[in-house]
Amino acid sequence: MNFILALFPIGLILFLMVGLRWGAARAGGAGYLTALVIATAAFGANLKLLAVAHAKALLLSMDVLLIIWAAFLLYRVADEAGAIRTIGQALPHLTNDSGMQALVIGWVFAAFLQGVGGFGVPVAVIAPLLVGLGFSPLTAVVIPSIGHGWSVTFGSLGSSFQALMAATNLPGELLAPPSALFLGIAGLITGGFVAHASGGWLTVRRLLLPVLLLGLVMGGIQYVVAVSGLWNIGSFVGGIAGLLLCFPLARRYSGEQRDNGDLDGRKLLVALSGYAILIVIILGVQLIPAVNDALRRVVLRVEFPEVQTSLGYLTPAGAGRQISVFGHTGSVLLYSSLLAYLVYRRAGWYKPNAVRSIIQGTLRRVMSSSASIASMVAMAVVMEHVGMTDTLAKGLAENMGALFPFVSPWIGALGAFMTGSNTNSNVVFGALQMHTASLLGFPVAIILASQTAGAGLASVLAPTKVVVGASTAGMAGKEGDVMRKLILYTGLLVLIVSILSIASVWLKQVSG
Amino acid sequence: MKDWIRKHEFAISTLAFLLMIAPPLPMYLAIQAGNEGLAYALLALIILGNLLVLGMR
Repeated sequence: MNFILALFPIGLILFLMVGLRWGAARAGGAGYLTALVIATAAFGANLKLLAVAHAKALLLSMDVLLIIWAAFLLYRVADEAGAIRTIGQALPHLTNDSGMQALVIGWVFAAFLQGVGGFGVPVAVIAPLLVGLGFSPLTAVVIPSIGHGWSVTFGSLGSSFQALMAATNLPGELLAPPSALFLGIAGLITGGFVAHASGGWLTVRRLLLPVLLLGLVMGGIQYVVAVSGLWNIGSFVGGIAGLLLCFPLARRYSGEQRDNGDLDGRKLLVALSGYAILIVIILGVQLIPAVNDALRRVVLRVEFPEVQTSLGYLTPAGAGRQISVFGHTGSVLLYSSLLAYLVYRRAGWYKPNAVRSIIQGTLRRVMSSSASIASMVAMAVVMEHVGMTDTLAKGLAENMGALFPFVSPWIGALGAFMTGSNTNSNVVFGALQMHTASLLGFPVAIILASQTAGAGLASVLAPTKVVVGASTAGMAGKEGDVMRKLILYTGLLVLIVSILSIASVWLKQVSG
Repeated sequence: MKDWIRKHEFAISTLAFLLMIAPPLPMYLAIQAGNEGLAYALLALIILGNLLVLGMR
C-alpha cells in the first residue's frame, strides 16, 4: 500500500503530462500538492520536517534555476544580436544533409556541451539552433535531449560520477570501467536514435557508417579517459574527438548541393564568439586550479538539523546543496553572457533598447519553467525526507530478487526522473543499490554502473529538463508532447542498460 | 476566465513562483525560533503558489 502511495505523485505527473498533455508547471503543482498530502497523512510528515525539506528544496531549486536563467540570458544575448540566425545560416555550408546536421549538432556537439556545461545547457543551446535550421520545434527539442543523455555521468566535469563515489565510498577505479562501458554502448545506440528522430529508419540506414564511427570514437575515448582516472573530463574529451571527426564526415555526407550563398567567415566568427567565450571561461574555471579556487571561495552553505517523521524515518543532520556564488555554472554563464554582449555590441549588432528586450525576453521565457522546477524539486525533496523515495526503491528491489540487475537501472532512472539529475539520483539511491546488491550477492560495481547509466540516460526525461528544452524552442506549455516522444527512446536505452547489466552479471558469475 | 488567465499568464506564473520560493527560508527560521503559527502561515503560501499554477495552461 505504501509503495502505491509513494508512486502516486510521480505517476500522476506522468499521467498529466504524457496522457493529458498538461504543461509542466500545472502538473508539477498537482504532483507537489499530492505528495504533500500523502507525506502528511500516510508517511508521518511534521511541520519541522516540512520546513527543513522546503528550505533544502529552495537551495536545490536555486542551484538549478541559476543555470537556467543564465543559459536563457546567454541565448537571448546571442539571439537579439542575430548570432543564432547567422550560425543557423552557416551550418548548411558544412553539410546540407539534415540527418548529418542532427548527428553533428544534436549528438556530438550536445555531448561536448554536456562535458563542459551542466544541467540542461546542451538542450537549451542546441534546440533553438535546430529550429533555425528548419527542424520542427518538437524534433529540435527531442534530438539534443536524447543526444546528450549518454554523456551525463562523465559530463559536467564528472559531478555525477563523483557523487556516486561519495555516496558509496567506493573508488573510481572500481566503478569507472563498467559505467563507461555501459554508457559507451548506450552512446553508440543514441547516435542511431538521433538519426531516427531526424528522419526515420531510412536516415538510420543511410547514416549508419558515421553513426558507428562517431559512436565508437566518442564512447571509446570516454572509456579510455574514464578508466585512466580522468573521469571528470571523460565526456569532454570524447566530445572533442567526435567534433574533430565530424569535419571529414560532414564533407562526405554533405547532402544535396544547394546554393547557400557566400559564407561570411568574419560574421560567423563574431556570431560564434558568444559560445566560444562560454567554452573558454568554463575550461578556465574548471581546469585552472588558481581560478577555480578563487571563484569558489564564497560558498552559500546551510547546515540542517536531523529530522524524523512520526513513523520513525530519519534524515540525518547535514549541509544542504552548497552554492558557490562566483564559481557556480550559472555565474559562469552570466560572465559569458556579459562578455558576449560586449563583443556583439562592439560589432554593432544591437538595435537601440536591446538590453531591455533581452531582459524582458529572458523573464518571459523562464518564469513558467521556474515555477514548475520549484514545485517539482519541493515534491522530490519532501518525498525523500518522509521515506517515500526509499519505499519506492526498496519495493522495486525486494520484489525483484534474481531480476535485481535488470531493475537496477530503472531505480536510477526513477531517481533522475524525480530529481532531474543524475547526481541526485546517485546520491539518493547509490548506497541503497550497493547494499541491496551485496545482500543479493550481485557484483556491486556492475549494479552501480547500471544505477548511474540508467540515471544519466533517463535524466533527459525529467520534467525539469524537458521544461528547459521546450522553453528555448518555443514549446512552453507543450512539454507533454516532448515527453511522449522522448519516453520511447529513453525507455529503450534504459532497457539496453538492463540487458547489459544482466549479461555482465552472468559473465562475471560464469567466469567465477 | 480562460482568456483572462491566458492574458495574465506571466503575472500569475511570477506570483506563483514568488510564493513558492519566498516562504521556505523564513519558514525554516520560524521553526528554529519555535514560532509554529508563522511556519503554518508560510506553508499555506507555498500551497497557494502551487494552487495558482493549476489554473494555468
